[in-house]
Amino acid sequence: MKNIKRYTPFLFLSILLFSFSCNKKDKEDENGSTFSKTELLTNLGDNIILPGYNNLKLNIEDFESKHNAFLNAKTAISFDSLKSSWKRTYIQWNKVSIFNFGPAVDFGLQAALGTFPTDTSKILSNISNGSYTLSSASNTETIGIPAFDFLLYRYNAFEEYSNNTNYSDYALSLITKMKEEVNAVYNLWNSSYLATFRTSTGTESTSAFSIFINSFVKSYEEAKWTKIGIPLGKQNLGFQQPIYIEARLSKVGFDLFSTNIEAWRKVFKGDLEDGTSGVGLDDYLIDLERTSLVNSIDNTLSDIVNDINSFNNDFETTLSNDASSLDALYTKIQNLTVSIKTDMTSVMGVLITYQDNDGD
Amino acid sequence: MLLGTLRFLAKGWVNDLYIHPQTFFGYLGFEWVKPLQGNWMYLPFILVIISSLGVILGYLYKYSAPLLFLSFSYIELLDKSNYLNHYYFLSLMTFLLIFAPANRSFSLDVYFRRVRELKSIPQWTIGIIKFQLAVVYIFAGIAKLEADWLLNAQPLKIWLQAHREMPIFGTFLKEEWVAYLFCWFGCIYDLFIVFFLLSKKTRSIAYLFVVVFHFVTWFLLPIGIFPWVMIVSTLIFFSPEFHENLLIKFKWKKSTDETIETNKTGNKIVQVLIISYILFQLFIPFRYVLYPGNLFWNEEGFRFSWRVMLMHKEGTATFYVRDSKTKREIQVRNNEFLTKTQEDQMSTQPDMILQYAQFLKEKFSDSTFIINKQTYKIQNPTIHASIYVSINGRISQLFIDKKHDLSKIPYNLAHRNWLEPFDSK
Repeated sequence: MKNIKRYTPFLFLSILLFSFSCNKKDKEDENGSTFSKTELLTNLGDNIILPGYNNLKLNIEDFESKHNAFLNAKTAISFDSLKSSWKRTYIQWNKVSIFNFGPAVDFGLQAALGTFPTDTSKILSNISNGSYTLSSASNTETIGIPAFDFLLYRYNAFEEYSNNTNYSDYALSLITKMKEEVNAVYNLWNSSYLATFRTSTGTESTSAFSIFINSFVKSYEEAKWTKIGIPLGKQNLGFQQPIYIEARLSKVGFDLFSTNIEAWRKVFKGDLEDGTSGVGLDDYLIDLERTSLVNSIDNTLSDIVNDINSFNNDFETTLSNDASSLDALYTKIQNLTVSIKTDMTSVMGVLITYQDNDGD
Repeated sequence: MLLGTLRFLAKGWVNDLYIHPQTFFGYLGFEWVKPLQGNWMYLPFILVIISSLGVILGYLYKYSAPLLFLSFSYIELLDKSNYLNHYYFLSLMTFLLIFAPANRSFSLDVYFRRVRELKSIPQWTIGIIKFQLAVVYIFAGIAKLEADWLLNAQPLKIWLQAHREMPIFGTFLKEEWVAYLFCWFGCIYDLFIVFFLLSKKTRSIAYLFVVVFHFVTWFLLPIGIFPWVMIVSTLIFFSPEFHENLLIKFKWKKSTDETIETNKTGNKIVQVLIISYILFQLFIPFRYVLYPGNLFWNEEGFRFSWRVMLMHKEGTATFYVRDSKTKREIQVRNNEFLTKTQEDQMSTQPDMILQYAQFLKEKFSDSTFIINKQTYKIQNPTIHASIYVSINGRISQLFIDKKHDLSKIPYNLAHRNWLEPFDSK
């Protein structure tokens, strides 16, 4: 009798389990719920994130070689090819900056590569001093890809880059630093994190799936703020803040913006760079019977990308000539936040914080 | 308690929750409870640890029991973003323990002859704890008698499907019928388990259910130490002999032939106090009937009513600070002022929304902006918010319209007619 009592919990559990497994067989066929988070994360990690970092790595290597090529032959042509290499790098950065979690956070990639606006006077003082600790927090606004918006596009950039060794040395040390950081992030993804990422599908806030969802939502909001909201003056009583425009001198801000939102949309759909479709968050939502939500998110995102691409002028000109169109675009982006932040995540059962929760 | 607090410290939550934040969401009537400066905030946690050791070992019980109640409740009163039903439960239990003669047997106080060992104790001291447990279960059961839980299996459906990758169990957990099974079982369990625990005949089987039930909830849901608390607490339903035998079996106590019994003594004042405590406990969870509208949406009378795991509420809250003179606006980035937990909780809870509005008003009043070398001073700002909320997986609906100046709405227990109506379809 005593023994029976001791084993009853297990007995109970196994009966429960057994009854589940009996029932399951009949159910599976008719229901056909096939979405798996592992497949989603595998698709994202293997086919989107890792290749994305690899491309960024290649872009930066190319940028470095274009830098060296320019110093070997200081011509307008080689300077232009340096500039286009930089632009490709910046575009590629906007495809992977939405993955601000895991290795990217470990190495502080966001701050190191993507902080803007740059502090141009600090850059100039660094250059004239000829010595600097680029990794110090006080130099966050003098480094990364955005710093080259100034270094390559200021009024006498060509002359400075050609003739001032301090100037080109500074450029090279920025490139070297970025190369190290991107390599570190890529290597960590490639060596161990990818395997963790694929299988960490739990509901706790520390699982890769939760971390991914939370940072994915956040990156959309960051784009809203940094790429349009702040320049429009949404934090400043509606007074425009042109100094906060991304890539203000090179005027490629709209390209970066549309790239970023389009990359976000592709991740949502699980689509690869070449357009091949894969398992995405949309498949999860469809599995959860939220097809109309998927369509509305997808359509609105495409709409936003089209809107950005349809501007004939650069961001700054548009801001001064046609602020109302930018404002309408901002409202569209803002309204979609609700679908992404609340409607999408609320059916997935993802925890936002690590705190215990008893359902209120 | 001890383990819970150690876990709290180990996870670094003291810093995250009580030292780092810029603002705290106090409880109505308890806003005067403020956190201590910087690392002093560790002090109440240390006090909880010391006093809970005192209570466990029965040492200096006269002081350790009240200290445990006070230090623990102090921590809980600081910020309602961290409110959990089981923390409230622990506060109540530590309060009840102050009056229980739990140091009168098998304790260091007896060992050191600080107090006389008692062979019998007033029955009410055990009865009131049983009552408290019954309140938790039965009200949690009554709370489950509603459409979302029973007819839609929500929010469990959302929470369980999220475990779809779990080995072996995963494939079942994403099935709809499993969610229904869990919902109905949970409801029946909560409603009736106490009665089975009370009856001597069914007690052992019922306790088995308690263990299995709470083990499953611990396994599947992020509810911290609550399952363990309930598994241990419900042992009180067992007879004194059962506990005595347990102590003897573990060789912690020599077998005696003395019988232990409870007595029924208790004076008039004690009786009155007990009855008022009981009435209070019965009223609080039901206070929501005093309010019109949907309880989950309006959250009028939601806290302190044992509505455990009943609601999956998420929201997107966009706040605007509007200068009263120029009507120009600032859109607020909540994460500049709130922690993730605070923002998450505030976005869906009307009282916290009002508190946040007050915080913003104070923060931005008379603040100056230098724009194009001109100085703008915000005067007497109004605070507005556009908030969308989703309940139990429904598509989100407008919760608060931007038209209201939230800083003018008083924070009290009156009905909140400034919330948009809820459509439950």
